[in-house]
Amino acid sequence: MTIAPLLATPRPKRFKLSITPTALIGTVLFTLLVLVSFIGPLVVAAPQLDALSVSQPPSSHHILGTDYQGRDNLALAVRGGSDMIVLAVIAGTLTTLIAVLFGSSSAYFGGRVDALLMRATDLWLTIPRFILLVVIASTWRVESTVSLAALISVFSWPVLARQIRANVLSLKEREYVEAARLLDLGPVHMLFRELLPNMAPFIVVSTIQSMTQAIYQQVGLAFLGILPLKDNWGLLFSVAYGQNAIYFADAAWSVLTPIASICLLQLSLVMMARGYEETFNPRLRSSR
Amino acid sequence: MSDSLIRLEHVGKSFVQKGRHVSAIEDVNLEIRPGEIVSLVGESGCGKTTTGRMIAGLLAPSSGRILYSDADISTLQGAERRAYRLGVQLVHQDPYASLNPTQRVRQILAAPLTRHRLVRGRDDLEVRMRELLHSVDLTPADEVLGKFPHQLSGGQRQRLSIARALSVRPSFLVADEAVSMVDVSIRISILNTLRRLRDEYGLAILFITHDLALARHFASNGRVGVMYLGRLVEFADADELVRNPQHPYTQALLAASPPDPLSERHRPPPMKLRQDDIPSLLARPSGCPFHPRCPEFQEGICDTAVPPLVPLTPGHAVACTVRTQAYLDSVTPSGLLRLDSQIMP
Repeated sequence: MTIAPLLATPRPKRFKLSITPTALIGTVLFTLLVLVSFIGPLVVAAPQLDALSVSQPPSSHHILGTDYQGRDNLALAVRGGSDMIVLAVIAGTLTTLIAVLFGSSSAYFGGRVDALLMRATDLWLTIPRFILLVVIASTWRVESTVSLAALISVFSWPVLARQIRANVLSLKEREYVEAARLLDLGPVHMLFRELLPNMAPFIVVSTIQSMTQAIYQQVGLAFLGILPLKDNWGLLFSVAYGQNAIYFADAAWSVLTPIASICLLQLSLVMMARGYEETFNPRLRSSR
Repeated sequence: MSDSLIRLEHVGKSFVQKGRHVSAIEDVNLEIRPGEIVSLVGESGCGKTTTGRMIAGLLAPSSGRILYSDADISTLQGAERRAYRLGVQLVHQDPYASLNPTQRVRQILAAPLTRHRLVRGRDDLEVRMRELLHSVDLTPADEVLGKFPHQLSGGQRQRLSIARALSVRPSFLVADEAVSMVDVSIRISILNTLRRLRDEYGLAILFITHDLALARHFASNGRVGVMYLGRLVEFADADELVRNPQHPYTQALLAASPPDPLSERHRPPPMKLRQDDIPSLLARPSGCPFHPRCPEFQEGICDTAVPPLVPLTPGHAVACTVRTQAYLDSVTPSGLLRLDSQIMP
């Protein structure tokens, strides 16, 4: 896929994306996590309850120790990733879609549509959204990953919508957009052929950032014990914490394993977002 | 009725800046016939680009009206509006900003052709796109079609943006400083292309430039208008304007343009202006907008009334009270004709 540089970027003479090391490391790390999470469960044996080896430190038998039920921490961690990644991808994509829809139509149509959509966005922005998310998630039982992702998206689009609106407003003044207007190419062409393709890099980066946010929110909700029991890192961390694992050196591994997993996933996403931002917009790179 | 393609009647445009109305264009009258080349010349900020953008429908005039084939463009509806929208196209100054960087040449040209059903089927589209590229001398067409704008040179990009404008078969083209950002070596060949398009398709062209020599070269058998601070101060056939400039501002422009090694004889002697700075639009001078700088300034005349654009001879109009009066004095017994009672704008 070819992706155009970020807004107002002076284009290099030859169309070549020289990917930054940050982006490369982030992408490799993320790919590894995806592979381990989706293929790992087929390779690593399912964790077994074992009342005789509860909260063990690392040993040759359990490389990362066991949890309060004697299950292997590594096996749990390998199984806990796919749910996180699926959630992040769905929530990130959905958030971006809603934001692009609202932000771009607000900027493109302007006038009353803009006023209405932006007031709605402002209103949504003033609400303490995480608290509301907690309230809604606990009253309306969130059973599936998809419905959790949808809920998170509904709460996280406003900031991005504002940024997208600002981007479209600036793109709208471009001469090539004016040329399309002179040729009467219509709003659909304008949005999908002239405006959005020129924001592709920004949208990609924003999607990755939304994924990061979604993961934080999931972990937060899981920690509060609102989410249903399911094999994922957020819940593993919450349960281990709830079993007072932080007070025993041997049991700490059952807390540290999911935490480290979450951190690695977040790190890979943050590095990707930052790295691609630099790749698309070389002016952000620090001069050496 | 007249046979004008575009007519501007007392067109004015003001913008609001810092809560104040700034008038960028005042009382501009202009008529362009089918197949005619008209140049608008002036310094930056004189309103020539604003005029072009109003003609292209990108800005609405604040006063007066613009007629396309004798119909006011602000009231057009349906098919007529569409005919105007496609009939008048504009070529931007900056060929690096006027082409979408994410689209290939093929997509850029195909969009207007298919949207307005100007081609029948795929084969016809391919043929038509190649025709367009050939008509602006952008070849080899097959190779160009697959390229992105950034893979083309500045001159090629400008040709592409002309081809894009031509795709909807316009009758009028506003070329807003269309060759100012192109290498000098390419300029003449693009201008020749434009002139050939005029000859082949009967395309009328409004050529906006700050370069009087270029305007004269391009519109050599057309007309040239000189603008100053939002007003048209002189309007004449290109040769006449250069040989026999009447307005002091036009004379100053000619005197200030770099010497043309081939035709030194028309070059007027250097002029001493009373003041070098162009007044701000925010503090527009009273009376004639040029009076604070004009070497022929006459107190009580130039700074009181705005001189209208008056035809001295057929096809040569000037907006200068002093010059018009001097001309009248030279052709009539002195004192018999007074400017204010005789000449109507």
